[in-house]
Amino acid sequence: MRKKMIIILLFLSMVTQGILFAAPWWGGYRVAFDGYAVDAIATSEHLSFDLNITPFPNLSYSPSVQAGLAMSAGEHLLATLGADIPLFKLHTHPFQSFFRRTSAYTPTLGLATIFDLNTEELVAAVLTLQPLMFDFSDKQVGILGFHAVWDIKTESWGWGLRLFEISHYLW
Amino acid sequence: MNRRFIVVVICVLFMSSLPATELAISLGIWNLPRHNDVVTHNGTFIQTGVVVEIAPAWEGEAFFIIEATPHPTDQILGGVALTYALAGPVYIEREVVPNYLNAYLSLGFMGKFDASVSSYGPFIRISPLALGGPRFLFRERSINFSAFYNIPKNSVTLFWNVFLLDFYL
Repeated sequence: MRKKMIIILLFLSMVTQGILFAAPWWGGYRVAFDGYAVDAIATSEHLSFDLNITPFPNLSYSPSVQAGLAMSAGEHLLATLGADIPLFKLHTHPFQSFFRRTSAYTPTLGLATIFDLNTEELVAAVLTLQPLMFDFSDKQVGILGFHAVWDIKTESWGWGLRLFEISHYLW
Repeated sequence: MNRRFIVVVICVLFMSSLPATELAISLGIWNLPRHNDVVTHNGTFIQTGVVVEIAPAWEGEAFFIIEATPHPTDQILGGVALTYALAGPVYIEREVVPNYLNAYLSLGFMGKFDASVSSYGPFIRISPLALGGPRFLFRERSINFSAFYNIPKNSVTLFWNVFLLDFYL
């Protein structure tokens, strides 16, 4: 009886450990700091919180989907919905000496829409290029991304910067 | 003759001190309240500079704060700071294990490069949560709070860096 119990426990621990090690990250949160130069969005810094889901985590170039809120002191609250995809992945890259952890250089391209929750209007569509994005498996860190912003109200192009973003995978 | 002598002295001084000195490039974001006496319009700002070892628990810093959006480089501030590591020395010999977690207190002087709007004065900064260091190649100073005394306006402005990243060379 005791022997059987030990075998069952060993089997269960092996199976669950296998699942833990084999399972790729698929969901977590993202925090980002953005600035815009476009009429539809206030010029002060925006802090955004997004739920970040990677629907096909087993793919090397899996897209990610984000939904969340962007806020700025004393300005309108914005809701955002978007997706991004890595353009390529380099496991040996010129920036790796800056990091102690193993990293991959993964520039990304993203598309998002911005909805003003105060006026209840869709205000902008944003194309984002993140040239300095680094993947640390459970974390992704990006600095100085470029936004091309289509202002829906004035039907004109503007721009913005994603100063910093960090995606942290929890599941 | 004198000029040649000075050049030689400078070369010797740098040759002897450079290999032992840790140097980092810092990058971060800089924020301040909407209503303030320091900047003329709201936007986003990037802080970048160099951090250099002075003594085991002391480091020097020189930085620029540059407007990123909506008008890039329209407003530029610069400053220097002297920083003390509160939770133990950072720049220590290889045989000693350094603290991964530390806190820093800085005293410095900064000003705005704008003839029309005069803003300059001393500041004090506390960095309560710093992870990493020269041995780890990278350091992240989070939630840095500063109080800046603006001498021409005789006012105090609080500002903060949500993060400052230091990349050791």
